[in-house]
Amino acid sequence: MTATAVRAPARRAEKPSSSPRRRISKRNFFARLSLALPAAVVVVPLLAIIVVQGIDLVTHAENLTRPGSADKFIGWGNFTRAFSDPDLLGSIRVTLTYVVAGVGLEMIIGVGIALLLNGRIPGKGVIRAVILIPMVLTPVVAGLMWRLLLDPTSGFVNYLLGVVGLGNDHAFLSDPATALPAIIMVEIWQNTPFVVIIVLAGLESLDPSPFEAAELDGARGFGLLKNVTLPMLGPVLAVVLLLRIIDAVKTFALVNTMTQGGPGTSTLTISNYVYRTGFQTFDIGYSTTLGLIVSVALLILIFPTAGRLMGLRIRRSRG
Amino acid sequence: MSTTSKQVARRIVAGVGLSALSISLAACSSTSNTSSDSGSGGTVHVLAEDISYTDNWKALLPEFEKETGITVKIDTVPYSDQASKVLLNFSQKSDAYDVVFTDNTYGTGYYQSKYVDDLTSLQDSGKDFSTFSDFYAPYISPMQKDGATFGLPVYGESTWLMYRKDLFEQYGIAGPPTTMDELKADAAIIQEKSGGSVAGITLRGAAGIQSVYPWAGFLRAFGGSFYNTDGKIDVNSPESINAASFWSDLLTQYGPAGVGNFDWEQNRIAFTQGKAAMTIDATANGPYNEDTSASTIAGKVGYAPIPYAIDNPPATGNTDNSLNVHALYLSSYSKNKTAAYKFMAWATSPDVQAKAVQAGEAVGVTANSVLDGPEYAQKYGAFQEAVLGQLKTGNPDYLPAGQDANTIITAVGQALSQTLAGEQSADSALNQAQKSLEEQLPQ
Repeated sequence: MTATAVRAPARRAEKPSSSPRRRISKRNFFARLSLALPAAVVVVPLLAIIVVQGIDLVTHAENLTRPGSADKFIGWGNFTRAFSDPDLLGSIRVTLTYVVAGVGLEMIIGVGIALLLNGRIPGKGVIRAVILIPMVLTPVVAGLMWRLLLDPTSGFVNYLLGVVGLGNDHAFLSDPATALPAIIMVEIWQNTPFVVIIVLAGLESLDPSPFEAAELDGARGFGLLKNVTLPMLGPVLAVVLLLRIIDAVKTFALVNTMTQGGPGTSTLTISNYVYRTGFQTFDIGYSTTLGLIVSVALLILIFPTAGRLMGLRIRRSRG
Repeated sequence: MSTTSKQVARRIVAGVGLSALSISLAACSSTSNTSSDSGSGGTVHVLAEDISYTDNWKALLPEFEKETGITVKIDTVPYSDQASKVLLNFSQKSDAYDVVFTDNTYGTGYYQSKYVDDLTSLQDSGKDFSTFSDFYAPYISPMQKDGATFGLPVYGESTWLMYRKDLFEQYGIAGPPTTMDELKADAAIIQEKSGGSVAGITLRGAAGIQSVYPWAGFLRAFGGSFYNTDGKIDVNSPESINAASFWSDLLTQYGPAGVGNFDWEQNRIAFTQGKAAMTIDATANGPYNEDTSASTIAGKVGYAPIPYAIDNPPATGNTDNSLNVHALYLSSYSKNKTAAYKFMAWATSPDVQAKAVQAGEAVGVTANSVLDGPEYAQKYGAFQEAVLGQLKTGNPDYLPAGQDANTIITAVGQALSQTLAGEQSADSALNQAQKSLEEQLPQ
């Protein structure tokens, strides 16, 4: 049965008629509804409670260190404070830099490696397994490991730089000029494998006939890549990009283990700032407000991309 | 929805929304005590710092449990996660923990918020183990306000200047610096004469409590305080700005590489590995310096008071060395208070403290008889006098304490880190901290 056939009676049911079809469709409707019920019983109340209580938290000046502060209604106070908060603006700037530089380079490097690995290469299975290693480490472990490697007195990176004559006491993580690039480097090191694996799978599932046709027409090298491979990979690249952006915006553990947002506020990302207000100064109301603002902003930014992605998919499946 | 249930619901959501931590707390709170508050028997739940004093209790607990019939369950969490766990627990009015072991910087706030109880009425029930008068007075006085005693001290410390006697002699410096100018000049001499192989001074530079704790000494050395004479927050006073820029210049010019991320441990290691000639930090560092198995500088360290920048430094009051105590507090929500107090009195008793000195690292013990005892003198003789001297002049209001402590320490810590990193001048960083604090703290 096609989708149109299912939809037709449902549309009719909206009209006030007493045809026998209506009863069927009504039964049909409740039957469908009953399938959603178990999930709805769990999800809807939870969502409702969170939204209602979230609004409650956002409009009050609750601080866990001050009993009674939960009853202090301040309306939009938390929002006005957020929009004039230099630390929030700074953390948005840091997060944007992190996402644009980190995810951008991950995509370029990841697609490059995937293209190199595509086709018949000896030991491909082993290479794939090795590439996966950074990805399976938890960010906390990766962060601590790199913090040790980058240590100015006993780190291996400084030892290597010393051996090649570039000086052996660079304090990468305590210099505001290099701290954020160092963390972005670890982000790239850890998450490029994700891009490689997905893009490689995408490449391998591509239909070979357009490539053969293009080669017959004389397409070679970069032209083939630009005009055939990448357009055909489009939906895969869009999914990878979307997932990486969502993940990178939420980054927390790498920063928390490597610099805790320092030196100064040079690596303070949004999540780290929300954590700081919530768990170091226990400013629960304000922390919830920051979390809400960031979530809404992210939804607004991400939804169009996600929608376009789904549109792409439907068009492909129809064509 | 009634007010109370609404409040409860809000608290639950606050916890759930912020952390999975609270889930475990809620789970714990269902295992409440069933025994009556008779003081004999029952179970006492303790949330403790992960430190040698706690290990000592765990080793000795079977004796206590046998003697009193009370079962004690001790949970430990890393120090940096402890404050949030304790506070979530209290704000949900949970009786999951009867006793908490934490820093008095927070403890004072818990007492202000009525999360922890005055112990005076319970003193008699634990007198077989210890009474308030067993403690060294400077250690218990921070937990005494208006006739109430709300905590029993487990360990305490002050801060001091540690310097390399051998290097000072080698480079012709007469003795420990007595003014901040001398301190800077000495740091410069060592850095230059050692060709940069030994840094002049190392201090904790990481944001938050790490840098604020030693820096608060510089603040006092320049005659400043976190508050003005009216008790209002005043972190951008001229003294404060001078202290921050002096501190930052000192570390930028004469500090080791990477000092901006140094926490207590990294700073201690830099000093015990001979990478720096001076440091200002806790008296608890003494045993680490003299530990021949891990320190390359054992026997070469001198201990001195922290120098002042102002003329006529105060002998008491707003002094530039801390008096910091970590204590046991009794939760107001405990259902087994007498038994809980018995555990507190036992855990801080002279007998248990004496065993802590025998068994492990316990330079901060708080009982008079143990501090004056021969074992303490034998173990910590290298610096015992200096420690006790610093404790006598220690400033109990060294750090901001109470409900606003965390907020102030976080804001000032960020300003210091920004100054040290060169993101902002001390002036503008502290002005921003002051503005942010005025906004956050109830006036």
